[in-house]
Amino acid sequence: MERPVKPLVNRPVLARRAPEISDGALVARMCEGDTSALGVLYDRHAKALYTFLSRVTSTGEAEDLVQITFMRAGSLADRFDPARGEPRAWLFGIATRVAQESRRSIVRKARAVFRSIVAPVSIQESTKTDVVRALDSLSEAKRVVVVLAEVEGFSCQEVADMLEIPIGTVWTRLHHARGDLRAFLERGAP
Amino acid sequence: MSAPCARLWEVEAERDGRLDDDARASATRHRAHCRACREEHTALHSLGRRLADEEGPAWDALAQKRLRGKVLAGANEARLRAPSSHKRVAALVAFAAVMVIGLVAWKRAPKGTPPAPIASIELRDEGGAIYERATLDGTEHVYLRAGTLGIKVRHDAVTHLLVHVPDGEIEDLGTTFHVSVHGGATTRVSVDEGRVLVRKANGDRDGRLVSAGETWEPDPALEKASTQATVATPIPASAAPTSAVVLRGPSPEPKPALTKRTVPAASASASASASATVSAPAGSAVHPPSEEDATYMRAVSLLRAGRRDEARAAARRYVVLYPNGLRRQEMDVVAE
Repeated sequence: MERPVKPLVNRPVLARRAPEISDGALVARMCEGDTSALGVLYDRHAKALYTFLSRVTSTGEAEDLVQITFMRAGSLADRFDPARGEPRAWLFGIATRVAQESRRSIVRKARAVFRSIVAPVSIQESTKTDVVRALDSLSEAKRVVVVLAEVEGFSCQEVADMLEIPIGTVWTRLHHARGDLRAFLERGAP
Repeated sequence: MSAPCARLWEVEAERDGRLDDDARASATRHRAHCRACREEHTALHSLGRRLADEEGPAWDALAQKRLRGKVLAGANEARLRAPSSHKRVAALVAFAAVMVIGLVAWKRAPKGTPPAPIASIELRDEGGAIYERATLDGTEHVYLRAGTLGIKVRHDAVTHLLVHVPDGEIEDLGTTFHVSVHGGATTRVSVDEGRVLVRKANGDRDGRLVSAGETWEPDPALEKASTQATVATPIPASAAPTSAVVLRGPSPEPKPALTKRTVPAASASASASASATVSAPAGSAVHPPSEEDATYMRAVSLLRAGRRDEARAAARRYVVLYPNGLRRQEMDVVAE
């Protein structure tokens, strides 16, 4: 019987070599100045962060934001508190703030204008699925919450901690986001 | 079409973790019998699955590796640039030390207020004393208008005291002494310890040295004659002396005789407070201050209030109006 060949894409090499090292231990090593620990953390979570940032920003700058996220994680490692959650949630929290800052920056707006000129919207839209378009139709606040909870699988409490908002706000945003998504998907793409 | 259920909200609440164990168990039991809730549960589950199963945008392995290299290079660079924890602590300690030193220096720096009077000088009102006290250029000045003032000076290198009386001044040479002024003239200077130098405005430039146990009292006849002479022949500006005392008298008067003290010191109690201005007691005869005194006092008051520029202007005014004034030298210093 022939064994199925698993794709190597998105399978971090270093993460396979050091499966015994937990994310928390890696962050602790980062505090001691071990940048290779940051590399292992990158191998484990870069793809997920890239996907998340692509969904919540929709401006094609996810790669830059992933870089900023890990750079910031390297400099903020000594502030990581294991009692407040897992390193994965901590990384997503940093990524969320990076995305918010990016949206606010004038530089990003200038880049968006440039990209809209270079790549027409119709071409971009044609490659998107209904689900992605439904996500894009949501407001930024709802999109971030629904992606973190439904796609990345974080609990509502973890999302509230990441975004530093009350858990009731998370529940409310999630409820409205689901309603909007269902309505969008039921009536189909415009 | 199934009828809406009142417990439909529990499906989403259960998914979001809003229900406790009992409520969740109850919702699960209810769902087994409620079609609407089952459909809602399925719809939410289906939506979540669609979202989770949605493939993210393609990110090729090469781009991922390239970014990894950038991240690690940036982290290494940041680590090299960042000061070590020891250096950071040392920098913080140095900064804190500089701040503390700066704060102490700031607290100790003069704030435009007059300098505190020298603590080693004690003034004691021994009978209707009207006086003011000021520190000017490191010298303590006491301006006695009337009454008797007991003065005790603990001699040290810093303290230098001048007692200004209406008709002259008394320079302390490290001592305890008493000065009496009545009717605008010095009537008595008695010394307990040390010695003082009494200079009369209309007297000789060298003054009279009064030692411990001695008392100086003016001769009334000579005082009257010298006062008349002063009025008759004022001294020209060019003849102003260069010593700390301006003597307005044109010729030396005969020296009054020094007498042994007969009046015991009535003091030794508590000292007068520094910088105090003693008001005249009711009914006491106070010699009205002259225009010259008023001009001088205005300059001194401004100086004590820290209003340096105005004090300088007032001092210049004094110098212009009274070129041979008793306070000329002091005003020259202030006017500079």
